[in-house]
Amino acid sequence: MEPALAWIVLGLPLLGAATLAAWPSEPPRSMTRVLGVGPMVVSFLLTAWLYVQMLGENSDDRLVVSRVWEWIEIGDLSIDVALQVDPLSVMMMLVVTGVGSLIFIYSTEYMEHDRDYRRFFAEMGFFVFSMLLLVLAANFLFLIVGWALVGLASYLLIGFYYEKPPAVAAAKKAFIINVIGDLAMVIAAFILVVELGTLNYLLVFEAAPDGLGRGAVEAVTILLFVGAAAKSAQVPLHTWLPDAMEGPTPVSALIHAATMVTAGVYLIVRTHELYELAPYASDLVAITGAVTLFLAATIATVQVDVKRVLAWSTISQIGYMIMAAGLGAYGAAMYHLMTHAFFKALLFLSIGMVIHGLAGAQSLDRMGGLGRHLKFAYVATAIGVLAISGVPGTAGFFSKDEILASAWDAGDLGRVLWLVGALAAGITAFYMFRLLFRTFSGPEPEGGYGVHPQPSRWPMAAPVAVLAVLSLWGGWIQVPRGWTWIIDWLEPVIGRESIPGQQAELVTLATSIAVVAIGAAAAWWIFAVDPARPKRLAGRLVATRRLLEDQFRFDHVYDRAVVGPTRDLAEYLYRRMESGFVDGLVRGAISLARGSAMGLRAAQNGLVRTYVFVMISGVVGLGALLAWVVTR
Amino acid sequence: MNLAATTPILIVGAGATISLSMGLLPWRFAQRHGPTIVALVGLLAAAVMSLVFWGDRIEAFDGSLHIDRFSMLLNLIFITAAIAVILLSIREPGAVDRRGEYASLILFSTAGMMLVGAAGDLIVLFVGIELLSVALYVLAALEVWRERSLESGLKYLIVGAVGSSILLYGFALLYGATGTTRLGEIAEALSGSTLTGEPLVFGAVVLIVAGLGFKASAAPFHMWTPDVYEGAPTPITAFMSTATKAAALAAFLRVFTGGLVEIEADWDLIIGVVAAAAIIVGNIAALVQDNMKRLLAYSSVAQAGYLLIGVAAGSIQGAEATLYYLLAYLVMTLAAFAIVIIREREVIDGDTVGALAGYARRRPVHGAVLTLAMLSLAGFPPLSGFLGKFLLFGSAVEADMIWLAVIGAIGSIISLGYYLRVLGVAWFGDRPQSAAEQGLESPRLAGLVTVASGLAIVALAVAASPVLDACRSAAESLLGA
Repeated sequence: MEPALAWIVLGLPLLGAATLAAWPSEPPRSMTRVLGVGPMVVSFLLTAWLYVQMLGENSDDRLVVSRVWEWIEIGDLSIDVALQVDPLSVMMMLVVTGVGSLIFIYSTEYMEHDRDYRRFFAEMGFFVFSMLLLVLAANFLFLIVGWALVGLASYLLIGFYYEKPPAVAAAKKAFIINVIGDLAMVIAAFILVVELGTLNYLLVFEAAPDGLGRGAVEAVTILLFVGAAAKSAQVPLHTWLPDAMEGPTPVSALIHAATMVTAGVYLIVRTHELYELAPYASDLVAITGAVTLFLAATIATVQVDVKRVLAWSTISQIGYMIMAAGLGAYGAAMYHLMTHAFFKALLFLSIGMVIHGLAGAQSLDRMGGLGRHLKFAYVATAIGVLAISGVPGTAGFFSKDEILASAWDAGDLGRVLWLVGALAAGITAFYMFRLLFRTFSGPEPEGGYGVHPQPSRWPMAAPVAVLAVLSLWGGWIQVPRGWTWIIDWLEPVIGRESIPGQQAELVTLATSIAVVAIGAAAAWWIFAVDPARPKRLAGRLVATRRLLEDQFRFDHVYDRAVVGPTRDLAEYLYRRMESGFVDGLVRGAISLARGSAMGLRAAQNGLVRTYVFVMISGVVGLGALLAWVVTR
Repeated sequence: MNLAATTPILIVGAGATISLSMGLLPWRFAQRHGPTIVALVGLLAAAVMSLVFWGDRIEAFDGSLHIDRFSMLLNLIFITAAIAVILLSIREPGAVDRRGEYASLILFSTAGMMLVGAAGDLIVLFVGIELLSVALYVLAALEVWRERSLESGLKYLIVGAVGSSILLYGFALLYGATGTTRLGEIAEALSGSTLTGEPLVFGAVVLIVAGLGFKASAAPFHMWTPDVYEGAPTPITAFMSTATKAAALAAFLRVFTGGLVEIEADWDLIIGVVAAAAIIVGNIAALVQDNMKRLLAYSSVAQAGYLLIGVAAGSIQGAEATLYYLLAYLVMTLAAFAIVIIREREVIDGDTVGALAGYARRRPVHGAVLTLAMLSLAGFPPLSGFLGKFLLFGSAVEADMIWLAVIGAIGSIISLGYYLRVLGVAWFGDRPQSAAEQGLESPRLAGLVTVASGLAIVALAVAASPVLDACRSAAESLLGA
C-alpha cells in the first residue's frame, strides 16, 4: 500500500482551487471546467486505487500513519503533520471524492449561466480539500483545522450569491453556530493535552482507558459531541442548515447533504474508543439523534420550499446515523452515511434539474404536473424517494433497517429509540412522497410555470443516472443474514461489531415495511388522488365535527390521529420551538451583547476625567479583590 | 560596564539623533529621503546586532540590563514594527514637513522599548517606558492641523501621566518592601515571603498591574485607547498597537514572570481578572464600532487580554505562548492597519468600515490579506492567531485557570461578530456611491508591507516549530538569571 497517495489525493483539489483563484482574470469556461473537475476525478481514481491496494493487505496492516514532519514540539506535547490512512478514512475519501466528482460534473452545466463560474469551482475545490483533511487527519489538532476549514468553505459557498441579503445572513448564521462547535472541540483537545499529553489519535485511544478519569472522558466526549452536533445540524444546533439552502443547489448536495454535515457521524465513529468509555455521553448522543430525527421529520411535512423539505430530511437522516453511533452501532451509522450520500445527492441533483428547468423556482406552489415535461428528473426523483423512504430493495432500506434493528437489540433505551425511529420512518415516507406528488403529478399550478420547463443536458443527467443506480442497488453490499462487507471492511478501526439478532431484524423488517406503506399511502391519498383535497383537508381540520359524519371513517380517524396532530405538532414546533425558542435564544444572546456594547459606548464619553476615574476605580477594585483573596 | 552588549540600543539611539539632524542638511535629497534612509539603516543594523547576540547571556551595567534571548527576540519585534511603520508612513501627511522629527521620534520610542525588553532594574524599566511614551505623545499629536490629532496627543499625555504615576508608585512600594530595584535581588528578597506578611508588596502588585495594564491598554485601564487610536495618524496607531503593546507585555513578563515569580500564587488571579475584563470589554465594545481604527482599538484591548493570559499562567509555558502570540499579533495587526492606511489615502473618510465596502473584490490581493488578518485575529485555525490562542488557553488550563480559558473562548466567539462583519462588508458589500475619491496612490512599499504581513501570518503557523523553539528559549532566559 502506498500511503503517499493520500497526500496527492489531498493536494490535488487544493492545487486546482489555488490555480483557479490565482488566475489573473476569469479564465475561459473550458479551462475552468478542466481545472475544477479534473483534479476531483483524478483524486477519485487515486482513492479507488488506494482502496484496491488496501484490499490486498491483511486486515492488520490496513492502518498506516503517514508522517511528514513534526510541526510543533512544546514540552512533552508533539504534534505531527501526518495523515492516517485506514479503512474508515478511505471509506470517507471514496464518498467525498466519488460523490464530489459527480456533483462537480453536474455543476459544470448547472452553473453555466453564472458569471462567477471560476469562483464557484475554486471554492468547491477548497471545500473538498478541507473535507479530505478532516477525514485524513491523524491527530485532533489537524482534525480541528479541517473542521474549521470546511466551516469556512461552507460559509463562502452559502454566501455565494452575495447580492442576496438572506444568503449573506444564512452564511453568517451557519459560520457562527459552527464556530461554537469548533470551540467545544478545542476545549476537548485541551483536556486531552492536560490529561494525556498527546493529541495523536492512536496514542490517545491507547492511553484513554487508564489515563482518563470517568469525569474527564465524559467531558471530552460531550464536548466533541457539541462539535459534532453543530456540524451535523443536531438539535438544538440545527437551525443553520435549512437557511443554508440559500447556496447553489450543487453546494447543498455536496456540502449540506452528502459530506460535510455527516462529519459529526464520522467524528463519533473515529473517536468511538472514547465513547465506549463514556456511557452517559453515548446515551446523550443516541437520545439527541432520536429527538432530532423525529422533530425534523415532522417539520419536513409542512415545508413548501423544495430544498427546505430536503434540508429537514437531511437533518432527520443524520439523526438516524447519530442515534446509531450513540448506541454503538458504528458500522450501521457509517453504512447509512454512505447510502444517504447516494440518495440525498441524487434527490438534490434531480430536484436541482427541476429548479434549473424552471429558471430558479423553488416553491412547491409553483410546481405540479412536471412529470409530463421533465420525465428524467421525475424518474430520478422517484428513485431517490423510494430509497430514502426505505422501500425494500433500495439502498435506504438496508441501511435504515440495520440502524433500527441494532437499536432493538440495544437494551431498554434502544427499544424506545427504535419506536421513535420506526415512527419517523413512516413520516419520512409521507413527506417524501408528498414532495414527489406535489412536484411531478397533479395539475399545473394556477398561472402556469412562469417559464417553460427545460430538460437538462447530459452533464447534469449523467451524474444523476449514476447516483440513481447507486441509490437503487448500492444497499446490496450488506445484506442481513447474507454478507457484511461494510462491517468487515471497518473491522480494523471499529473492531468486530455484533450484527443484530434474527428477532430484531424480523420485527424491524415487518414494522418498517408497514409504516412506510402507510406513510406513502397517506401521501398518495392526500396529495395525488384529488388535487383539491389538501386544501379541503386543511379546512376540515378546523371543522372536525363535520368530518365525524364523513363516510371515510377510517381515513378520518387516521387523519385525526396521525396527520392532524403531526401536522399541528410540526406547525407548533416550527413556529414556537424554531422561531420562538431556538432562534429566540440566539437573538437574545446577540441583543444582550449589543446592549452591553451600547452601555460601554455610553461610558466612553470622551472626557479625560471619566477615564482617569475608571482607572483609579480599577486600582481600588483590584486592591479590594486582592485583599479579599489574601484574607480569605 | 559591557557597553558592547548594548549596541542594538545604542545604534537605534544614534540613528534617531542622526536622522533628526538630516533635516538640517542643505541638500534637497538629504532633506527628503535622508531621515527615512538613516532610520531604516539604523534599524536594520540593530536587528543584525540583535541576531549576533542571540544565544548570549550578558549582564550589562551591573545587572541593570539583560542581554539575553528574551530581550533580543523583543528587539526583533520592536524593530519589525518600526520598519513597517516607517515604510507605511512614506507620504503620510503628518510626516511630510517634518520627516526628520517623525523618523527620529519613532526611533527614540523604539530605543525606549528595547530598554524595557532588556530591563533588569525597575529604574531602567521606568525610564524605558517614559522614553517610549513621551515620543508617542508627540507623534500622536503630529497632525497639528487636525483637532482630533491634537486631542489624541493631549489625552494620551494626561491619562499617560496618571498611568505612569501609578506605575512609579508601585515600583516605589516594591523598593520599600525589598530594599532594592534590581529584579534579580527582588526575587531573592521575596523568596519565602507571602503577601499577607508584606502589605507593601500587596500594594505594589496592584499598582504595577494597573500601571502596566494601562500601557498594554487592558480593561479597566483602556479607556484612552479608542480616542487616542482614532485621533493619531494611522501609522502611529499601528505602531502603538503593536510595538507599545509588545513593550508593555515585555514589562509584565520581566516584572512578574521574571522578578515576582516567588509569590506567583498571589498575583496570578489579579492579572487573570484584568485579562478577563479586557477580553470581555474589548470584544463586546468592538461589536458596535463603525470606524476601523476604533474597532481595531477595541480589538487590541481584547488582544491584550489574551496576551495577559500567558502572564497570569505564571509559567515558562505561559511566557512562551505570550511571546509567540506577540509575534502573531504583530503581523496580523500590521496587515490590518496597512489596509486601513492604504484605503485612507484613496478615499475621504477611508477609516470607516463602510469605506471598505466591496474593496476586497476590486483589490483581491488586499482583500486576501485583510481576510487572513481578520480570521487570524479571530483565532481561526490553522492561522497563527489560532495557534497562539491555543497555546495561551492551554497554558491557562495547565495553570488550573480553566475559567480564564473559557472566558477567552467565549470572547473569541463574540469577536467573530465584528471581524466577520468587516470581511462581509469588504467582500460582499456594495461599493458606496458617495465615496469621494482622494486619489492618493500608496507607494509600492506600503503594498510590500501589506503582502509581507499577510505571508507572515501564514508563515508563522507553517513554520511554527522553529519559531516556538525561539520563543521557548527566550521564555526560559527570563528565569535563568
